[in-house]
Amino acid sequence: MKRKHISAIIILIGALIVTFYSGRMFLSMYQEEPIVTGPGVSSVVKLSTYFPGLEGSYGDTDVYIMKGREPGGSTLVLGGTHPNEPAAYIASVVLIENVVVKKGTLYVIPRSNRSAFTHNDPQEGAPQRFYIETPFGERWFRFGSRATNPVHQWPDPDVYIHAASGQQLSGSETRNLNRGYPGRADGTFTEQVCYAIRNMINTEGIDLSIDLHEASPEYPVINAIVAHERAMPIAADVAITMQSNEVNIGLEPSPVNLRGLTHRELGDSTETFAVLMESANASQGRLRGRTDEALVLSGVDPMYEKAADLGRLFVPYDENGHPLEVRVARHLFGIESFIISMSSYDGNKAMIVSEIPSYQNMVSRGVGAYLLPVE
Amino acid sequence: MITWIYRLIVLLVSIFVVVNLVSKEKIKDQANAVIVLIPLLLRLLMIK
Amino acid sequence: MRKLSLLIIIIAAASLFTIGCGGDESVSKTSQQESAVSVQVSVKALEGPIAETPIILTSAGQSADVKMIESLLKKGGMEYEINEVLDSSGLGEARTLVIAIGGSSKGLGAAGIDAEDEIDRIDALLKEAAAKGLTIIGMHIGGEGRRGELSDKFIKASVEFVDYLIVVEGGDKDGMLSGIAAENDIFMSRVGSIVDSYGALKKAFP
Ligand SMILES: [Zn+2]
Repeated sequence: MKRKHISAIIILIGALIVTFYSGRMFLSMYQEEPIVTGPGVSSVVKLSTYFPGLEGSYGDTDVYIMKGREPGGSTLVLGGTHPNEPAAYIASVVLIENVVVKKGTLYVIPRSNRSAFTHNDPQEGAPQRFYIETPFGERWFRFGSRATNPVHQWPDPDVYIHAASGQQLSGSETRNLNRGYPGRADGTFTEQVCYAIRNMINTEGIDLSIDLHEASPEYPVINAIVAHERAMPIAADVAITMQSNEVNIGLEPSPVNLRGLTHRELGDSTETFAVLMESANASQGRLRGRTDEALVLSGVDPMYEKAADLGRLFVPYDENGHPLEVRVARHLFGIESFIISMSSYDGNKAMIVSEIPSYQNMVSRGVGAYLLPVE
Repeated sequence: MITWIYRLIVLLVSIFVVVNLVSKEKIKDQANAVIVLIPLLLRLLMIK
Repeated sequence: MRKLSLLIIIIAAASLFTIGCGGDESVSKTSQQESAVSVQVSVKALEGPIAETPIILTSAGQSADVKMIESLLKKGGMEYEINEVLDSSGLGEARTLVIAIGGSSKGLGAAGIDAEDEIDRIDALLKEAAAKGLTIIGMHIGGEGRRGELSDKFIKASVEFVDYLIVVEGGDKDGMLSGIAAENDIFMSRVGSIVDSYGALKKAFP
């Protein structure tokens, strides 16, 4: 055997080893972190219940239902629309593990874009998972991508044309769940998930839909509520409540000409009050420095401090960063305020929900204090 | 269907890369080829 | 030759970098000093009622802050009408014009108008309201978030016309609003939060 053949074989074996280990690392993102069904969860159904076309695909995801004894209004909380926005995901998990509903029904979809949890955005250097200390030990959660895994939906078109309006966006937005509404039964993978969520709202007659998000600190709509016009009176009330408790939050109307988003399409194509909430997340921002688990959890970033000094940000930013517990606390406070506000706005839609961790408690005790032990 | 055609193309390209790798005299050129091969294998397996 | 040109490029890049850093730092320092000085400006406090109902409520900049003010008026049981895109012909029987100041690109998008048209609208509206003898109350309740390039346009277009300006503190950190109020001899009230802004508004009515 020639020398070059020997070296070729060695190099090829090396390539196979690298492929094997990197492949295993990529595939590890498919393993789902545990979510413990809390005392208030009455049932867990699949999203495909509302659109059988999703069955068996990676778009099918768990819907946690918390039904009160007394009939009343209903609220849907969407976490994990964008799995690189951890406070949105964690807030929905905290609801599932803690909340008890006495009147009405609360629906929570923690992994709205389940496929987007199975990969990371290439070239972003983001961590695959982060860990939260609890009194019972560590819990782990994935830090996914903004968009559907291209293994599940490809190829991207050069230009994404929103089906219902003809609006044109960059091609990769075709995998963005929050650009695909109202969705289509015969559309792309992502549009089918949108369609299923819309069908669920219509089938169950859900009164209020809250889509949880985070945004990068240099994005103008941040620490904000975006509300569909029908939801505006309730949202105005929530913004006042939060601000008078010294939680700084802005209120924005949903633009009529920005299509495909929950606060526009769910409000237009269903009877629900559609709102969206944003908190500040440095780990998805463009100005961030080192992107590691610590950044996800603390939001401390010297680059953002510098940007704040230069007046380039839309939120205050100092050496304390924006810790995960504060971002989760904002979302939970918002959700509770929305439920209370809707209840007084329309008595037929009243709900009584208890055990939502208060803002102060979440901030001082941390997320870990509100997670349950995994069996 | 389109996925299978795509994978077939990736497989073909991968084979060419391996042939190219084996035929190179210098280790440096072989290493060059193998860097191209790894992402192709990950694509072929639809992992990434 | 190749090495020489590389050296030149490196030096050029390095000098650009240092110029960039130095420049930015001096800018931020001077603006901090300026703001520290201008916050000192003293404004005229409101001493008694200056307005009467009915109220007509509108926006300058189409931010949803107008909805929050509406919510406060409703809760307070005040007699009001709301029209976010009120034009100068729509003042009707109103005796007081309350204007929610602050820009929102989403809001302008929702209303389907651009910033320049919005400025023209409020300019005509405020002039007409003043000519008809209405009391004009400006409210900037969005704090720091309702400042910046877009919002400042609407602040500049509206504040000098108002009789009484209510500002939630965070929005006046740099003293711009109190500066305009002092310059134009406008009554002004700085409050801590949006809920307090209702108290300040109530003070203007008998
Ligand atoms: Zn998002």
